[in-house]
Amino acid sequence: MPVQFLSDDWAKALTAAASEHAEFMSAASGKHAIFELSVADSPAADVYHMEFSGDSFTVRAGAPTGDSDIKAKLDYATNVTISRGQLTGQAAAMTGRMQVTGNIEKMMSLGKALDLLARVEESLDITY
Amino acid sequence: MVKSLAYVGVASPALAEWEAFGPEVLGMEVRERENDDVLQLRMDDRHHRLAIHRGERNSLLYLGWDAGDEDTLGACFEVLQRNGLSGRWGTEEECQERRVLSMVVADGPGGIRHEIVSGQKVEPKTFRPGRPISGFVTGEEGMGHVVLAVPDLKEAHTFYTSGLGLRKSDEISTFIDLVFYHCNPRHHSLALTQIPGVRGLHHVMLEVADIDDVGLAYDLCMERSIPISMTLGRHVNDQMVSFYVRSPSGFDIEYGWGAISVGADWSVAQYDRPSIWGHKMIAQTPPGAFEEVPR
Repeated sequence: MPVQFLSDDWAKALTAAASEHAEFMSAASGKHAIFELSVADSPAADVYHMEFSGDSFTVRAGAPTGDSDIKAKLDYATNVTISRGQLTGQAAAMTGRMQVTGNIEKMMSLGKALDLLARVEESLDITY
Repeated sequence: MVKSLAYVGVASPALAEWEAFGPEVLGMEVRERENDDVLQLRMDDRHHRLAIHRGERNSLLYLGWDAGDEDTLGACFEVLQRNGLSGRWGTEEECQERRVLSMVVADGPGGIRHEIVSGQKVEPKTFRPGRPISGFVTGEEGMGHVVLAVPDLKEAHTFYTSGLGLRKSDEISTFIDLVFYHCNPRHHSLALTQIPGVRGLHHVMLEVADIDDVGLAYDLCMERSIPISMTLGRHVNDQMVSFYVRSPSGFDIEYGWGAISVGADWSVAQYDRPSIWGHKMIAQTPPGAFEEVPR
């Protein structure tokens, strides 16, 4: 069943798929970070966050309850491009298509895991 | 093949900021401007080492590599051709602009422009540092080193080793992978990291002759609230004591002292950390003058 990109259903589906993706979980293992992403022109959530908690990974629509380590701003089209694997999150951050502030060391330490998220999303039926 | 990193050229809107940052913080000398659109900075008696060209956004324009002499330059051209890598002779205008006698222009991986040159202009006993420092370590080791992002590390390795003749120094694998290359006793004149779809300049390293020059620059950055990207530290591979400061053009300047040299008996090593101590990343924004590479 298709899920709308950046909706609650998408967040739950991505959380479940990522948790079963061995390569992603290996890349994320032991990492602790909260990413908060603000998405301009989003037809669904305009803020969502990803939480790496050592041995687990969660995506939720809306802002995190605690402080985020990294805040990112991007537009919906860029986020779709990343989700489809046509642009990596690292590349978006490094070229300014996604404006990132915060703990850059944490962001870079999760670069490989973040880049694998697009492969995780390949297994989902997402409506953009 | 190439003997040293001769010069670096970037595009940036921040020429005015460089006029203060270059001499007052880094100790470079600003050349008298020949036109409003280029700022040239010196580190020694060479005509210039860093050129900031006025541009709307920060980006790496070119890297200049000293071939040493015309015969070697000709050999470089032939090697590029033989390896199926693009290369052409620079025009008189291009040579005049860079103040070199001759030049071969080659497009490297990701479209990064490389200028292999011979006869860079030297003006003996004319370098005047922008602030009191012991001096920059240049000479046969060139202006320093650059760290680049390339879209494909394997393709880049072939270009820099087979095309320019650089030799691998070592590798560091952490959350990013870095490969280091040398062409003279400096441990590395070039390092590469792979970011798919991206090319550009992460940082330029300038080496000074005294650790106090590093400490004084660090103090100046703190006093002027110039963003430090990485704290003082010592790298595992070249053992340089350095810190990283964000330049007005987005890429970082590594300002360091005390690196080891490589010799004929050098053995390639691998490391799992970038530094023995320090170099804590405290930047709040990503470094670099990067751009997307069209797929």
